Formats: sequence, C-alpha cells, structure tokens
Amino acid sequence: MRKMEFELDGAKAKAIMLEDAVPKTCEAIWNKLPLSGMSIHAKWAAREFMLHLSGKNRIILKPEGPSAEEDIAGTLHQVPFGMGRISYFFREAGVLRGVQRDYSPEFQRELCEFAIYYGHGAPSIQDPGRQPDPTKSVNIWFATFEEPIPKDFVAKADAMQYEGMKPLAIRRLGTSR
Amino acid sequence: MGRKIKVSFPEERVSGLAELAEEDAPKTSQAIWNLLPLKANALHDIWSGHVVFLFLEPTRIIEYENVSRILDVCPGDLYYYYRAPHFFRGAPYGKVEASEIGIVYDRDTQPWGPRGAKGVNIFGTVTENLEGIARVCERMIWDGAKAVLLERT
Repeated sequence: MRKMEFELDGAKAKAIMLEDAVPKTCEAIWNKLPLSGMSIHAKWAAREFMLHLSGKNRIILKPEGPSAEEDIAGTLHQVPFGMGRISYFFREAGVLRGVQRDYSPEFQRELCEFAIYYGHGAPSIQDPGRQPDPTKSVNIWFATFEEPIPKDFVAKADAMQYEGMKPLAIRRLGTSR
Repeated sequence: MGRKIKVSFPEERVSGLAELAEEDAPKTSQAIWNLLPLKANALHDIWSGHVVFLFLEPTRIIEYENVSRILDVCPGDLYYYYRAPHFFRGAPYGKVEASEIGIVYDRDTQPWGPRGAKGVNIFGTVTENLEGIARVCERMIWDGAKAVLLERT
C-alpha cells in the first residue's frame, strides 16, 4: 500500500493510494512525486483546493477505473469524489466557455490538476468546471486521506478563503502491506 | 433610473457604480440603501462560481423578492441572501445565521450552497467599471479576502 504525505503550509495529512482500483494512475503519479506548488481554493466545488499541475509538474493520464466507465456511459453526474478524496482532473480547452482569467495563463482554457476535497459539503454537483464530457475530460479518484483528516490541515485549507493561496508539497511516505 | 451606489475596493484603488433595481426589488433596494455605507471584507465564494460576498453585520433579514430569478444571475448583479439559523450544517464562517451581499463578476455563476440553489434578491447591477471590479475579484482566488466599500452616490 503506497502512502503519500500532503503538507499544506506546514500542516500535514496522509493519504492512501487506490492501487487496486486505478493502478496505472497511481504508478504514474507515484513516479512523479515529490510535487509542489501553490494551491488555490475552489470556486465551484465547495471545500476543495487544487494544485494545478503546470510546467514540469504536468501529468497527462488516460481514463482509468470506475469513473472512466461512468464517463463512457455518460452518467458521470455521480461524480467520483467527495470529502477526503483526491482526484486527478484534466479537461481540454472548450469545455468551459471563454477563459478562466483567475487561473494562470497556462490553464485559462484547459486544466490539469489535483482536486483535493478536504471538508464536508464537498463537492458541489453544480461544478461546471467538471461537468461530464468523456471526450474532453479525465477525472480519476486515485487516493483518499486517512481519517480523520488532521484539524490543522483542514483549518489551513479553509483559511485559503481568507488568506489566499498556500504552498502545497506532496511526497512519498512509503509502502506497506 | 434607480439610485446608484459606489462599489469600491479601496486597497486596490478600483471602484465602479451600480444602479439599484428599485422597480424589481423595491424593499431590498431600500433596505440596502438604508445600510450604506457598508465596509467589510469580501470573500470569494466557493460554491457559486464568479461571485464575491460580504457579510452584513449584524445579520439583516429582508423578505424575498425576485425569487423567480433563482439561478438566473448575470455578471454585474448584486444580490442579497439570508441564511436562517442552522440551515447549513455547523456554522460556516463561524456564523449559525447570516446575511450577505453577493457581487457577481463573470459568467458561469449560480448562487449555490450546501443545500442547493440559494434564493437571492437581486437588487442592483454594476453599470460602470465591471471590468475593473472583475479583475479585483479574480485575484481573490489567489490573494484571499479584500476590503470592499459600498456607499451612496
């Protein structure tokens, strides 16, 4: 079992990779670790923050796991994420109208990110940024935080609404069986 | 033509004008007018898309107007929303009960919360310098809260 450590502005939480469900995705992301960057809070999905995978952090993955099957069936309103879940998300340009000027220039039309759902209430099913479109987006739930998510980690995430972006580092924590 | 209010982000040195929707929402327009000037920290919404909001302190209750316009907001719209005690789980933002003003700054926005669509009273629309206001609001995703001032003109 592979574990990762998420450190948000000094507060840490552990997550378990879902290797049985999405082995290729986990392998690809594991090989990319450590990753770091500035994370920002969601504007549609409620208590979620994102690490945009820009530049050398960029990862392009093919659909895998239950969500991919739901994508194909066109029933992805059963969004494969929730509190404590961590997803990889990619969408091509054109899924959303126009540009997202509040994102960096690289991601004003397309988007490549980790979506990190840290609190109850997340996600909102009314998230236009992640509406189902199996031909233009990839959404893979690949890890889950160990429960309970540390309170200081949740507090740091909530504080982003008041204080803005915060540094996030994701690193390997090790493997165990 | 309705009365106008000035919407400012003093620290950013950006301001615009909004016209009150006195025919569509007379009670809300008057109630908000009576509260001016208002100075507060605006936060970026995390459910609704391209909207920032400020809490009214203390909580103010204004009856529903324009409820038929639910989910039908446009860039520039100003709205009022009241959240009854314990309507949401816990106390979001430390408030069991709250009232707020929302400033819609771009498309793809629907007033929304943990229990679904929010019934909001649209009481005005930014008519001058929405572009400048939008640039400030977008930065709140990265910068966090910003001071906002609403005042009579």
